[in-house]
Amino acid sequence: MTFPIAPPSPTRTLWVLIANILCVTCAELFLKTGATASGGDSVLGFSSLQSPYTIVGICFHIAGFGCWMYALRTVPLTLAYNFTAINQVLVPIAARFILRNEPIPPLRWMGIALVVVGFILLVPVLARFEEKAERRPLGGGSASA
Amino acid sequence: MNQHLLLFGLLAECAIVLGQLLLKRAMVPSAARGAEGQRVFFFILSIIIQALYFFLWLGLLQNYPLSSVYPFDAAGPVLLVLVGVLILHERLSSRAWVAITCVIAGLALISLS
Repeated sequence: MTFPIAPPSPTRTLWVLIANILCVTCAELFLKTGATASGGDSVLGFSSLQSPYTIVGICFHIAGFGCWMYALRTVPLTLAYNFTAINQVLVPIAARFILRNEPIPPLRWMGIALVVVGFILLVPVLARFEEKAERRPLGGGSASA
Repeated sequence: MNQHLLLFGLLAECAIVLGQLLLKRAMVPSAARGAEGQRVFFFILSIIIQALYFFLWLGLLQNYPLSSVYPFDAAGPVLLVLVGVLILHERLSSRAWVAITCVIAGLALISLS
């Protein structure tokens, strides 16, 4: 098994991470719908696999995983993981307005605002990191951003 | 908080952090001798651990509302920052630290709510 080693073009990794965020958000919503539809009390949720919603959720997770592997080739794990933490904002909002099952209290709105601020601050950090990554050979030295 | 939810929620978070650490190690090319085999091993181990996380997560989603389960993901970024700095030796700019602090504080507020 070999892994691709070609360096990504500027800002492409940023868009790939955004694609990952959208895939994971869709995946979580489909998984929740599938898990609720199938019921069950087991520790591991194997019975959820009977629901087509769960299968669609898994497909979204696989697509998101592909995006994630692409991004991890150059972006530091710490930055990428915190950037995609915006999922934890998108999922409750989507659960509220699409699944219509969970209201959002004021304290959670404050937390959502802070995560969005962090996300916006990380955009130029990631873009600058990619420019640096383009100029240096892959695998050389530890990551910094 | 329900002990079952606490135990399996934390177990799931530890699994995802370990899985991400191994995946990062697998995705970074290295010219060292035997590195390719080691990367494949890390990749396979990462997939196994992330699969365990996935089914733990599905089990939690089956048994608890999304708003009770999702706050456990707030622990992930904190553990990931520790792993990134202490094990992967990633260096971050002051702007990146401010952004990460905002994200973690925001996630903590979401969990508290």
